[in-house]
Amino acid sequence: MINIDQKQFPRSSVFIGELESLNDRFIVAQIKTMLNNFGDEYVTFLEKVLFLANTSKVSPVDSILDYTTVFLREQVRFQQTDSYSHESFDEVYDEVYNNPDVMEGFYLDGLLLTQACWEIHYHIHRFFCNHFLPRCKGKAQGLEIGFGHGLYLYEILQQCQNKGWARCVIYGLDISEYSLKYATRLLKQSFSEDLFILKIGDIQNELNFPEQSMEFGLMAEVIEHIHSPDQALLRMRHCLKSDSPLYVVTPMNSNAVDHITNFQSIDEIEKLIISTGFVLETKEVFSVKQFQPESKDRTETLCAVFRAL
Amino acid sequence: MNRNEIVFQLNTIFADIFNIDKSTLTDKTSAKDVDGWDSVAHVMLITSIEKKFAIRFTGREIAGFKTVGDLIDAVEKKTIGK
Ligand SMILES: C[S@@+](CC[C@H](N)C(=O)[O-])C[C@H]1O[C@@H](n2cnc3c(N)ncnc32)[C@H](O)[C@@H]1O
Repeated sequence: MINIDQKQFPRSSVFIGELESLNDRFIVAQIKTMLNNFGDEYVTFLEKVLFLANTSKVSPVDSILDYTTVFLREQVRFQQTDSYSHESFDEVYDEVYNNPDVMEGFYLDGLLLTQACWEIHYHIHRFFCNHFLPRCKGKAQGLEIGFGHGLYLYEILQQCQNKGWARCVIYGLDISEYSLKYATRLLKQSFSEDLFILKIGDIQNELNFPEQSMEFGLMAEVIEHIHSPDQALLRMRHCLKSDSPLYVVTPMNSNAVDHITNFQSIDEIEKLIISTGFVLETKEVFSVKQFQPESKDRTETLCAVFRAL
Repeated sequence: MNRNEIVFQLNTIFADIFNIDKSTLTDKTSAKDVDGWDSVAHVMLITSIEKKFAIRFTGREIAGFKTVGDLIDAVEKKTIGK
């Protein structure tokens, strides 16, 4: 049994208690490892994520289990077919981004919770906090494409608030009205609405931001969702001032209900980003196998900070 | 479908996925006892069962199955009247 301080971490205690009654191979084994390796730092983060997810109508246990099993169903398919389930962006738009049963049923909540329940996502989040957040220091204006649940925007705004930095406004663009609703609700719990400007928009079309108007950018788990990642990166590059940091997270060999572009190697992803006007500053590559050696999940993820030339 | 038929079909699916001898399976067999029964294999098992019996499990149900017996019970419940 996992023992954590109920008074200090009430949401986590209930959440873990409920998960422990189930098959521990799914989530509990990963939570145990993260607790062992990161102790209070980890459980403080889990508590925060559970607080942020509290505006949802679905229980966090159902959301994480539905998200995880839907994801695993896609990995099984990938093993059998060696190709992604979807090829058409429009099909994904209808079935996922524009579908409240998916987006509000488990997708947004579940993806948010994976940040604290899947080892690979927790490590990616730590990479973001250690390598990208410090690069946003003193910057006034930034843009995230495909913000989904809004956790990254939350972390940036929290940093601004904690450090008492003068006006830092962040812009977010996402194709789904459900992401917009979810992230707005999440951010409004802690920040005044004039600090963030979220809009519905498609990175496959021209962006309505002036050239060189942004001082940092984020494209986390988004370029594998579109047909022409290079065009999307060029649009982001256009908005960024020279020397601005860009945070990119991109998985390969990772089938999902909304992934349409796979890559042959991590090197291919890096070269693609570099070819659109960036240099690589820092990177880490995470794979599911590194955390669960016996797993048949072939997901590998590039997690990196680039700098606009 | 009666319990024996379910057990027979499930054992065939198990043997196929994990490459094991059917006779080694009992109601109490769990992931600990079978090599390669990780979360991906667990879901592979579930999708094969869903296909075979034309049923569908939720995330909570899938994560709740710990033993072969749990699976047999669940399939039996879902196929009542089929
Ligand atoms: C996997 S989520 C990533 C959420 C978050 N950035 C993260 O890393 O956890 C992908 C998000 O990208 C959005 N998205 C997909 N295609 C897009 C497009 N063409 N333009 C803008 N946003 C898009 C989806 O609606 C979804 O919210």
